[in-house]
Amino acid sequence: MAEHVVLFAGPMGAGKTTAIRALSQIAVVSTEAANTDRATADKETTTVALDYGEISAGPDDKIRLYGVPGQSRFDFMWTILQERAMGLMLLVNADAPSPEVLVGEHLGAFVDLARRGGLVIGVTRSDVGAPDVVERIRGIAAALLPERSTPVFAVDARDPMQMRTMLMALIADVETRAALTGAAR
Amino acid sequence: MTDETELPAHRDPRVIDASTEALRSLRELCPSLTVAVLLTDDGFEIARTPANLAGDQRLSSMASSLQALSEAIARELELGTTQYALVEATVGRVLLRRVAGGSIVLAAVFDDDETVGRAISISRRVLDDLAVALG
Repeated sequence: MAEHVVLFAGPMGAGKTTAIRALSQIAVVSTEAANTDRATADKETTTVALDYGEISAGPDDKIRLYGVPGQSRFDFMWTILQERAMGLMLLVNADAPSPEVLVGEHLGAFVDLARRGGLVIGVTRSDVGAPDVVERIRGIAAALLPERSTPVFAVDARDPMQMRTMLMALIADVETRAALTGAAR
Repeated sequence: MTDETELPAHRDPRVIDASTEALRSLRELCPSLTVAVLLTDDGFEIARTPANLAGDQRLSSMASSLQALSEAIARELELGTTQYALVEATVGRVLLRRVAGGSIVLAAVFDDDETVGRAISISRRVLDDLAVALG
């Protein structure tokens, strides 16, 4: 059976755990802890190790969904998990103070994966963010990774259909890049 | 209604003082203790011994992740409550243990002079005392 690892990254409160719960076909393994950093994100719990879910993609393929903690003090988990990943779903909440800065920081942290694998950016809570936030994020992604085209979506992390569309875009991006890499050889 | 003035454990002087005292006891009872940290569930350091190693938050973050993973495994396999998690290495061991019923976790690093049983029993006793002190 072929196994594909997709990583969900992004700042605290972006909706990574919610997105994996929306997509996974198994009960999600979560490592939630009481959140004492309410100034950064006003929510009860936060992921401190990983979230894990799975999607069966036919008889011979399984997609493993790993969510990493949003806070940079857990960046050792980013390093551990991105080595195995084929693609990155980067989520950012539009109502964060500077969403495009957060995208820039995370693209920097996951640049190896973004260059060798697939990358899709999802902007959550876009209904309560600035109207041009998706365009600003598209701009920062193009500036930081000029060699590639990066799909950017406004998404609701709670909606399985929207998250599935984003995942399909990631898989298409992985396949496109694999084809381009193969053609260049 | 929640108490808006309630401080998180790592900023609460009462919790910091009690935690510092607990680590002092642990050090007294276990001379082979290399370093120990009491941390919040989400990886913020509350107290540390020796105090002069303060500043490196990495142990607290990694301990928080490992504690959460060990509890997730026990939960997944329906094994009940996790008592402690132990990393046994060539020249020492790391013990992770939660204060009973609370959201504070101990990460204690011992050199290889300590027996596993002694590290486990003493850490449990110290954390039970801390739970009482914190009410």
